[in-house]
Amino acid sequence: MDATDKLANYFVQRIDGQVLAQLESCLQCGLCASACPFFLGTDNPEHVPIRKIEPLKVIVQRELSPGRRLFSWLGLTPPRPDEVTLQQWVSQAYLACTVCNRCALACPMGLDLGSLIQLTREGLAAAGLVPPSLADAVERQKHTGSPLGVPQDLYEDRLRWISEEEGVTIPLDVEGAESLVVFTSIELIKFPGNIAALAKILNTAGEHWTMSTAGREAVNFATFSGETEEQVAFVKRITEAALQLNVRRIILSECGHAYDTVRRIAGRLYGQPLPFQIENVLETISRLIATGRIRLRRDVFNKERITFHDACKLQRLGGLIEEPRFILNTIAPTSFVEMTPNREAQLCCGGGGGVIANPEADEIRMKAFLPKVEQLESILPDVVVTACSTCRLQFIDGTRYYNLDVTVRGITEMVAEALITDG
Amino acid sequence: MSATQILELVRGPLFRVSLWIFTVGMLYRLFRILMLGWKKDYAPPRGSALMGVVKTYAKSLIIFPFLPPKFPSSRHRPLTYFAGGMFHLGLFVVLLLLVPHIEVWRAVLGISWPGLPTPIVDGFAVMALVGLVLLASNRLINPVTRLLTGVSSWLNILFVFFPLITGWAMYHHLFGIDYTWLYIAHMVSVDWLLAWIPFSRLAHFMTYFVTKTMHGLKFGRLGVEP
Repeated sequence: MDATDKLANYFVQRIDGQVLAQLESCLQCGLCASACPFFLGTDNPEHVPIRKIEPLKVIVQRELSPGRRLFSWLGLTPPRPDEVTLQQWVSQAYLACTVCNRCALACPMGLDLGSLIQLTREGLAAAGLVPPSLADAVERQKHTGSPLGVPQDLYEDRLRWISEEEGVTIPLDVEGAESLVVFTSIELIKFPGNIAALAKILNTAGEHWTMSTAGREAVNFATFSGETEEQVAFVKRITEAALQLNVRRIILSECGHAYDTVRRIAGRLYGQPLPFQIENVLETISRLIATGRIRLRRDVFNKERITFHDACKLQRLGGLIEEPRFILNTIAPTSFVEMTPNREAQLCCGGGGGVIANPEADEIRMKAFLPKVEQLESILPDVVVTACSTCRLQFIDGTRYYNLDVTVRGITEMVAEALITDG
Repeated sequence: MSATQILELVRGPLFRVSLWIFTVGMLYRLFRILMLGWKKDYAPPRGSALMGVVKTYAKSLIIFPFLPPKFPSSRHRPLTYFAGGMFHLGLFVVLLLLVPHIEVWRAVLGISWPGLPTPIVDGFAVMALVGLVLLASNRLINPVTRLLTGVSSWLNILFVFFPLITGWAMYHHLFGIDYTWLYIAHMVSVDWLLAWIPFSRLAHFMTYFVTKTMHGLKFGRLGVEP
């Protein structure tokens, strides 16, 4: 069986009524183009979202379409993909897409293109066609527990260092705690301030929390690569740690895809209601503010012009739309301004979905950031706040590349800065 | 065989055969979609799925031209949106509110309803035709649609164009062709279109309700504006 056969097999097995109805509904109107940062940034018609599911469309036309015999007799069936075509498909699906699903809002037929692109990645993964840098990251996550290759001892060292450096207590593997907090290794390595900040917030709120050595990685690189078995295995590391530590709640830090991935897969594994709550840090902070467990100063950021970048995975695909606004209106009531479009219609930064981890995508990733540059230039903020570490990295790269004088910050750190601690 | 006999053939037995192909074909497609099953969304809900469905239909059906006004600043949007809206609105008015067509509906379904005066429907027919021509031209001009458009799209456009133009020509006695022959051309193109729909993307008039409902359910469940 060659790669094309494996691809076809996977799709034929996995295609359900939803997928079939969607594929048979596309009228090639091209309206999805207007939603996509990769198209808007390059003007290249090859980057129109619907082109990214070409593998699915071709296989369905060849294997499942209602008129396939008629069409093949007329010579209208697309040819069997060769090696070159397969490679083009791989670049389209992995390098020129963050699976941000903005296209789903532009489609007049309501196609959920994001999930179709995800299915396309799964098919390509089943055919062994994952780009090497993503495949390597999945391997690293499998063996060391982290896509960045952070083994357990380094993790523990790093937490100890953050704890000493910042003077905060970070509980580890505490059984019976209320909440299990799971960070990303990006935060552990590049944004340790996030970890110190959330520790400070939770300690001040008197939340009985813990981190875990077994469930220590929120990032799930198998979500990006489309390797479904590994994806479930990585989620299980977190959920099993939660069950073992007997916590009531899992708190996922500033990470985009973790929230959606963990919620969806935990729901499949444990049924409903779940044995624990799953919270994003935005919900955690909102909850602590709303219940009066933390108090925040309202004047710390009133000299800077502050805007919020909605993350595709947290806001459009996670529904966490009001939480960041509630938080920012609390700590920056006079200086918070919105970018347009925002909320569910936000423009994706172009770094998510594994794109940023792929050096081959570097050039197109900066082009996909162009629409964001236009947005920033129209409101000229001093600070862009994100709640997703990938967005944050992409904004740091992008603002440097385009020489924008903007500071990029994580929302948790800003909340910690505004935190009122008695005595 | 006289022209009258040919006309009787294409609007009688041949029309009925096409109608059968259409009905059986569409039912087959619907059942195939339903029988393949739906994957369940296991994530705990954050909002009302039903509200999502209501909102998505309200946005796309009530607001002209049938399409959600989501990205107002897009450079590729206006022509496709407005031409698409013109075409669909025109088509539905002609199909459902032209008195001779209502007679056909009564013959087929046994129910009828009041129609619009023919000169008004004529305006909608022109609107549909103009919309279709604009959509077709856009497929040639816009680099995005040029890349996406394949042979099957052109066939679809052509097969929809014929019934519209022949019907319109009948009303205006155009092209100096004998009325009976125009009528024959209209019925032949309608018969062909009906039989073609189940094999093509023109079946989207049905799958639309599947995909739109799914879209509303997903976004509603997330508590996100669809």
